[in-house]
Amino acid sequence: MKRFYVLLLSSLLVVGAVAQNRIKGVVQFKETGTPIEGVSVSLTSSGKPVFTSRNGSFVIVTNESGDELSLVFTGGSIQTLYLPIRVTSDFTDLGVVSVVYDNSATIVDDAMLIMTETEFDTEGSSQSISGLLASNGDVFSSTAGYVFGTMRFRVRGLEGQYNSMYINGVLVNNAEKGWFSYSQVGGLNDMLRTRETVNGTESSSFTFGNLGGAQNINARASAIRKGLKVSQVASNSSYNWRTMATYATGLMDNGWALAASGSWRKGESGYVEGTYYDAYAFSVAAEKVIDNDNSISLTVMGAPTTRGKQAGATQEAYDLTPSRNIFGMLTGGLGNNYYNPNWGYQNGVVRNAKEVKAFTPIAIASHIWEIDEMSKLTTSFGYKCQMDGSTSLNWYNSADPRPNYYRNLPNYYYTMGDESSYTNAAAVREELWTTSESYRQINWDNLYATNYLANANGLSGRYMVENQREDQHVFTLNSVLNYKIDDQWKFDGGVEMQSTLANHYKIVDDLLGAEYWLDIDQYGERDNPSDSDFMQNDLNNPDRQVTVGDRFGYDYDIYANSAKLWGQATYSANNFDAYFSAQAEYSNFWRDGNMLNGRASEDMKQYTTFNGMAYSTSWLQTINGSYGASAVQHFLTYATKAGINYRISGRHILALNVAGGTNAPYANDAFFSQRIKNNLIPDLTPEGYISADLSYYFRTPRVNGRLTLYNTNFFNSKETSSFYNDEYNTYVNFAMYDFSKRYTGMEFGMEVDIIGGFSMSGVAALGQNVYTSNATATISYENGLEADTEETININGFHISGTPEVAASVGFHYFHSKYWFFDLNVNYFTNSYMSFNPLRRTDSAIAGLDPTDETDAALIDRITAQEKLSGGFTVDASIGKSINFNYKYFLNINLSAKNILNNNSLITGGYEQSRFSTTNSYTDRETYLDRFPSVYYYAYGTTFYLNIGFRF
Amino acid sequence: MKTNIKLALVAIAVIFITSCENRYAEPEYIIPSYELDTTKFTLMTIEELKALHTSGNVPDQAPDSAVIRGIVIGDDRSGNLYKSIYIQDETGAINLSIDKTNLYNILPVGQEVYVELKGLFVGDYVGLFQLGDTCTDATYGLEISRYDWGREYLVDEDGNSLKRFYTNGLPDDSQLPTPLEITSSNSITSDMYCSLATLQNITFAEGGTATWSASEETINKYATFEDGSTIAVRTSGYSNFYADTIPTGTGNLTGIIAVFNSTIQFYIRDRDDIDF
Repeated sequence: MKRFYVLLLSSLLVVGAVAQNRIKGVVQFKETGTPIEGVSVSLTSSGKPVFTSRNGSFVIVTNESGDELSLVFTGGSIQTLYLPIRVTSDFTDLGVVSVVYDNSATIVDDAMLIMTETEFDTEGSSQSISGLLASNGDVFSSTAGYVFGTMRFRVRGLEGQYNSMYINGVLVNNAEKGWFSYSQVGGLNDMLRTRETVNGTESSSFTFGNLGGAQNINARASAIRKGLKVSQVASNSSYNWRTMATYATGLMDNGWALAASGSWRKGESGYVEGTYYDAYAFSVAAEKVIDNDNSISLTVMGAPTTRGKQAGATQEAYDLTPSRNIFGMLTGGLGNNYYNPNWGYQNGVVRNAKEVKAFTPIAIASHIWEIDEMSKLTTSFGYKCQMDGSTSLNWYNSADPRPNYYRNLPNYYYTMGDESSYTNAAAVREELWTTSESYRQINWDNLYATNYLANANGLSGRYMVENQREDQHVFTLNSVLNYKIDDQWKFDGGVEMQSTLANHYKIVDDLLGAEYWLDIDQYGERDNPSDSDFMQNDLNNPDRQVTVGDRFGYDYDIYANSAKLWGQATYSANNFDAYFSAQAEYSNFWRDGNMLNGRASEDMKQYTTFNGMAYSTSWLQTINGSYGASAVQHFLTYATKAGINYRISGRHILALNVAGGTNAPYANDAFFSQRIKNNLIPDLTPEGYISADLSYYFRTPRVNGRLTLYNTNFFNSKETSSFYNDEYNTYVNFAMYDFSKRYTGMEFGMEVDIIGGFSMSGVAALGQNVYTSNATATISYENGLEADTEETININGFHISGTPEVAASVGFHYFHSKYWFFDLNVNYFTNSYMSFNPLRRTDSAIAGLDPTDETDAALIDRITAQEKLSGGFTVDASIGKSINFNYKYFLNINLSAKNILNNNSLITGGYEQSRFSTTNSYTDRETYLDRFPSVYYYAYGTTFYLNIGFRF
Repeated sequence: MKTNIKLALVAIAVIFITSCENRYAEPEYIIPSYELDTTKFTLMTIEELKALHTSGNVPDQAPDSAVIRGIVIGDDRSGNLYKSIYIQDETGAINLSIDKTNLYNILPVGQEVYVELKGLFVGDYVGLFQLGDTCTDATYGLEISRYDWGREYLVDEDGNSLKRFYTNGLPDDSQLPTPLEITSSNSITSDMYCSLATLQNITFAEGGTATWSASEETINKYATFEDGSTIAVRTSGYSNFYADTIPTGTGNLTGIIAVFNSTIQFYIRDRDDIDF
């Protein structure tokens, strides 16, 4: 077998003879000489770290030599150290490497996790903000995650599905949507500190990788810092306080390692009113070293969370809301960009209509087999049980309960005309909005009163709170072989199999005092009142009366399976490393409806596809079934990548990576109206991509950093968005396909060690993320009021929304030998773009307008142009102090503040309202634009984060 | 060890389950009641209110200290009536013109309602008496304008509520007036406008063939009494029964007598009003 690999790999690259050098040392605290376990040590030129053992020792094996090498020491609790070294023989003993205690890295981690675990709640989709946690030692990646996170910056613009997150070798990304939700591991910071990060498409030893990178968190018991750590956080951000405790035994003499961590995060009201937070987290891990070759481990983690969400609003609503200072006190003026329409008082208690009730326990069993000195086999089995719920108000033949419903604001009346009845009505709305909190927020007591009256009249509920559930059982089996063939050749490869059984449905969460809820669609009823079938959500159970806990509305399963086989060969020579990787993947998915929807009740026609090549093209008319299983969709995709690190010298390195391949579509992007029917978009052929990046790394004793140029092109991409349309009280789904996009730009990060504990950093990202073709879209009204249509969406040249394309930061850092540290960052962001309404980019949206006519041309521009958001500056600062008691007990106090200048006018993003029509006889296009302006989200003003930790 | 882990898991599960309990106490249901403050207000009958206005004139302001009382006889639950409610007392009935949809969630049929008239206007829409708001725009001519329901939530400078419409007790169909029994369109007089009535023994020529209305249109269908006189039954294409087929044979319809210029129009409130 070994010979086979050698033969195989030898044929790929020419073998060159190189010497192998060993570098060893022991890492200790400077003051006490206490050895430190778990410090990451790597050659700056090659990047793959080794970790110090319990006695602080490490050994690095490398082909490099010379006097321009340097080592980087980094980890959760030491100040990152760059150590220039000279390698002149095949064995270099550095002796004792003294490092200084520093907790700032931990703070960055914590603060990032806070941002990432509070997912941003936008209409249509909820996306996690940051792809990966910061990787130690790379100033660009840590700044991009922490500092730029405020503005929802995405590294290289890439969305969550292009980053892969692994825990103990098991992929934890959502198989239906692609991205990983950090809230699933929120509050478990201490369990997530040891991790291996792959940036972009560089080589990786645990997975083939992903375009945006991959990360493998080692949450095995032995990887958790030994000892007891307790910490307390106070903040005015997502939550008000967090209590966390972690205990780990480290690897004990009997071969066992045990660890447990728990936390409680609680917020009465976050930075945004009504966004309360109540989350627990727990993790237990056990690991047993059986013999010299084998160890097994089990890690279980989960974070049951309840929190109130934020929603965006129009600028008018923000401007008319009384303003508050950073302590939440009314200032007497108007203007509050953090107005949140989601909450209101019930019996005097703040209640949020859009609550997240989520719990996703994860269990991972893992076996590590050190077959011999040269090979290691890591096999992991993971089970994830997702129980995600998101609540929302539902109403039936009653007034829209959302306080910022457009008719509750003056603007609607201004757009009606200038008759006095309209100006009077506008004045009434303005007075109510600016003076009455019960008008500006949800009036829960009124909703109950309406339901009580409906009870008295023998009617079903008029208002209720529903819970939209996304449940999953995910089974993953992953096996990775790391095989060092000889001094030059290394092989990594594995198999990864995953099976996801998902169930999507709504349950009645709270009837708000009503006796029951009738499971029919009110607009289906209104428009087709004599068709008693059309309005039914489940024809198998027509006119069903449901109560708390009952399923209603929609109920379907998604099955998604995949199997991957990948391999990577790495060749190391004196002055370069090169690798080549390839992966083949088979995947499938199908939908199985548990309800027979009255708007999609025709018999299903079974068509099968392979790689998206449909066997029928008349899809739109022929497949309209909702109940039962759809045909299985099969996909075969592949990926390849290759790269080279060329060491000009030990301190100057050039790295080039290229990648190309295909991605199977996600089920979430394939069924265009998946809540109610099995219909698939007509083009399911896999997405293709080609990507390249070129980096220059420089590591000199005082200055280190990197500059990267990257370009990634996607072809035949797919994307689904879903907007609530309050005109029809339904979701309108836009499934876009057959489009291309390009992410291109540069990344720069540099650290300069000045003198006496002072250092500076400079980080910049300049990118352009654009659609490079128009798209085709299927537009589908979930309540069936309009027939499904296919239209061209003219978005060639549009920018991909949700991230600033330009972000930069200059940081000043001071570390005093008495363990004081101080950081100050000045940051700048710009070139964010609004999420767009596809309806406004169809040909019909501008039909009848003459582009040569000045007035018409202006209107065309208003309808179709994508809004670019203005940028701005923020300043962040943090100060901290570590106190140790004989180096046995450590007390850390850190206070960090983000956006200390309280810049309240930074728009992070937003979306255009979905109401737009060219066929409405009462409302013309201009009125639509005036009446339904865009919704914006703003970056928080000043937020504080005080962390006091005690460790022993 | 395993036992400990299990115990920990159980404890965590218990914490989670208890934390999922509904934290919000249901508001107590207070049955609305209205007591006329006779030191401030005098009760006026609907007939007296209507007498303040002469059909065809501009709307007249209602007296500040007057209150009317009535039972809701027609609401918008089925969608056949739009932004309007009919109330009736022992002396007569009137239409409440209110700029709000889904009024039946506040003022359903059978509900007793008191209206403090300060700031309201009584007028008519080509013969149909309405209580609502004045309108100063010439384009609206003599028509009364709809009362802005947003005003119900306003307070004046002293913090006093500007609310005008008050309900008393629960809706109760036994409070409804006995419908007028109409056997001929010739017997309908102007004092009956806005009142609850039953058309007795009528027949639709289009019974069994046509629907009440068409989507988003409002259409008159004519019914014939036994004496040969006819009446227009008017149905909105937004009602939830507009697409039902008009019944065949002879039967009764209950609903509201309305008028448009000199044309009597009859509105049924929902399917239950059809007795064929």
